[in-house]
Amino acid sequence: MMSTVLAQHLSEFTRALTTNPRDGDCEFVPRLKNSSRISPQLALEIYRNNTRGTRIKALEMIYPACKRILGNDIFQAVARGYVIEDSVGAADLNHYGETFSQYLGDLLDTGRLADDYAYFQDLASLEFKFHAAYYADSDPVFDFECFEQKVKNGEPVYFQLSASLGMLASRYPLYHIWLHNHPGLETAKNKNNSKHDVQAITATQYLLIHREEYIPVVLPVSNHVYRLLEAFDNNQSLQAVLDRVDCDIDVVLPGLIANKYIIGIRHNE
Amino acid sequence: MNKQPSRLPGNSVGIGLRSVHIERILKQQPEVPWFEVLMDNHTAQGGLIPRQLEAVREHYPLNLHCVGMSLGGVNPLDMRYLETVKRMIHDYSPVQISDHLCFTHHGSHHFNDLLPFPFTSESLNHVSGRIDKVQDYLGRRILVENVSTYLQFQSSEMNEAEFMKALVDRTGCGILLDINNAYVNQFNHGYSAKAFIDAIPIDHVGEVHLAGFEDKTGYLIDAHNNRVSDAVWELYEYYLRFGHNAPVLIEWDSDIPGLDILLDEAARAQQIILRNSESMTRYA
Repeated sequence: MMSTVLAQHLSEFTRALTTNPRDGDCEFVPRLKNSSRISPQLALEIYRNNTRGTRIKALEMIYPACKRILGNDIFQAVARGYVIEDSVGAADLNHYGETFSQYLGDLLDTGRLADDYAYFQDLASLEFKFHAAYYADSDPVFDFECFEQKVKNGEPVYFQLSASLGMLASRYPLYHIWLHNHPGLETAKNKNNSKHDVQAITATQYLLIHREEYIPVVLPVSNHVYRLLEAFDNNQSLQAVLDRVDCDIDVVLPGLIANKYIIGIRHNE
Repeated sequence: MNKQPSRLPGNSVGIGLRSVHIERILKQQPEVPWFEVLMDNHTAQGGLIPRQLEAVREHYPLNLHCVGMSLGGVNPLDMRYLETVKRMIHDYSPVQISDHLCFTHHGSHHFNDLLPFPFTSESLNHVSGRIDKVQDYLGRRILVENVSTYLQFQSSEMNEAEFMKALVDRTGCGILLDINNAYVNQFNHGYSAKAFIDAIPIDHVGEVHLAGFEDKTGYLIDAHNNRVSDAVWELYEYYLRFGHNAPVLIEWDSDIPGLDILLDEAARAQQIILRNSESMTRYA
């Protein structure tokens, strides 16, 4: 059904909410009745604030460590800048804000966020992967028979990684920073994995974010493990990877399967 | 045991299920006749969320409350969203399914808010068609909720109650009467919430919502972050006066307090229901 007048009203309403108030209001405001309590301009500002406020709350949920480090006021200002720039939003707020880390990177590149926060793009990326892992689908059980059959037949083996698995390489001591700023970690499994001191880390840090059952964890891993999983994630076959890895695959691979980072075989390569 | 009745008891007082309360609900199993799940917060198919919902469903009937159907929108119906609703109907057997009389996205923009549209004969045809499609696809009747608004369109040809009545007549949908929204609209726009309640097809109200608003000094915001106001309790009594007895929900969506506060609000609703029981018996 083509609803022309309705569609026109909704388009004007949308423009009024997503463009500079003075530009957007002018064509839409005459469509509205005057009210003694709420002027059309105030009404539009209420709706803008509702939308922005909902998105900022979503960002607060997803990026608690960023918020804790920046403090509430600065985080609110940064988040507000992001939601104004990203007027499209997301149908599902559980998936909103994935590009927040890029926005922080832009703020850093343009000097609008101090160099003290140079690690923030990576920290935000880590927090989003952690959030996404919480909402990820459950994984199937690894099909060893299928794996053995493929190897036996000499077919290329393409591994399927866990739906919750996120990977991040950072030149900052991200794990340490995250551990000290993510809420509720005193009861989480992660605390027992805290072996790093922020001052001691000089090399690139490789992290996996993974949810085996209900609560995601962040785990530092070796360069070898990271590169191996990265190769599988990039659709490289086991056979192709074998020629290039410098680790004992017979030792590493069972661990990746046992830890449920690798959860199956892809059939449609 | 799976307690999923075909309908909720009249005058039963449910509570909006919020994740911060679930652990306690499962542990203590408070005497709440049913919970309402805000679907859009519970769409995950893995991890803790579906496990918790399944556990709650084992002990309580659930209603499914949606915010993303965009019944008043002109974008094509979001079939992925409706697929998710259908999956959740299959997984959790909700007693009732509801969404709002509003649009939530337009073109590529998603607002995550409940936006009004003009009440015209064209809108009526359009929204009726969408409700028909949704109900056909889900194989279920849905309840459509009146929303709080902060603006009114010059082009509206009928009021909200007339529009909702026509929707009920055309589609067979039910009404979710949000009394707080009616009050917020009364305050902000100056029309009578009682007249709204009188004008909607009250026998088709399948559920009532009660919530708190935020007073911005001069106007009200439907913030769902507060206790139900005295004015809204009075309107609820007004609704009850002729024996109307749709299940009622205590709804609290932000700045969520401890479960005890919600149980206390539910107890107050129950007291009001009891106080009005004489007239209910008379008119039942």
